Amino acid sequence: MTSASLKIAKWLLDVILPSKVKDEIVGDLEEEYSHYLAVGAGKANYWLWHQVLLTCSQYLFISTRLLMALAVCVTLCVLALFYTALAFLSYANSPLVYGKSYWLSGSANMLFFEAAFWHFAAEAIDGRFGIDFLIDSRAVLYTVLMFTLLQVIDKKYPLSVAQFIAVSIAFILLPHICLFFYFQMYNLVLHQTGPYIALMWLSTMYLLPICSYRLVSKLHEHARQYGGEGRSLACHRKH
Amino acid sequence: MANKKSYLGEFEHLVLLSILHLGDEAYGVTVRRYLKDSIDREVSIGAIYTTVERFEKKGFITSKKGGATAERGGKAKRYFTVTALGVSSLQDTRIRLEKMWCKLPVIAGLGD
Repeated sequence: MTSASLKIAKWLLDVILPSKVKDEIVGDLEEEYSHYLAVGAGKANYWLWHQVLLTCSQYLFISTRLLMALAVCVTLCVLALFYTALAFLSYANSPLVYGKSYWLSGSANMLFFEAAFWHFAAEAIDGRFGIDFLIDSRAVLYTVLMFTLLQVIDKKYPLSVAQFIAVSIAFILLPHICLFFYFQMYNLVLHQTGPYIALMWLSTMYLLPICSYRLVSKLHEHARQYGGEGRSLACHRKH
Repeated sequence: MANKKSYLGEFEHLVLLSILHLGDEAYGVTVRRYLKDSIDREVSIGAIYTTVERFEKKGFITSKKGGATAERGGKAKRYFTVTALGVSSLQDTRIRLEKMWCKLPVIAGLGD
């Protein structure tokens, strides 16, 4: 049992750890494990798995590098999605697209569940799409205000990484939620909805990369400050 | 900019001090045990290695492979040595911390 436990632990470390530290870490764990075995197999196995899981999480799950990569990937995916949606709207000119009820109910994001959107997405991106579709003064103003507010909050009440992510998501979703209720309260006609949808999507496109950049800086700072001891990112606050 | 260059995080500070204390015997197992025995700080071996990797990039430590033993499943040890730059960074951090502590008024549990 003890030998099998060690073999599984070594296999796990072999799969997860980068090659430059693999041998040293496995050797160190095996050395300490053999000392713990003298005390008892139960304690030794508990210690071994505690170390293996913490070390693996260090290099994989809680790794700031993984979170940074995740933040960048999510940002790029969301940017690509909204860019495609804007390109699609400038390309599509059919009642089949604009006749849908969600444009008037404040649920414009339902477009992403439309088969037609995914079918014509590539074609829409290839089509003529002016840069002016990506500029909206109200979205710029909202982004500047919200990012300034986020910075002020973070400075006054230093936010943990998890809190920073939560506040950023709230600020990004705020126009979507507010405009949903606005659409529900006022019966807008189709030609009136465009500027609101632009505000909703473009504010996300502006705010998300800036928040992601700040998040990555925060993660760098976190890694430098705490050496990534495998503790929850939510526990740490900036000093 | 100079501040940023020499500033050490709390855990970095502890690991660097442990390596200095251990001298020629500083490798993953001994650094981990030193932190546990001296300040009762239980850390994962992965935390030690991610920190020393960062130190090597900054030039604060160097490392060299040691001999492999059967006890370690035939894997070599990696010994760490603090460089002059690492010592200088520790000194900078110490001076700053001491300055901050000296300025503290004598209040309950703090100061002299």
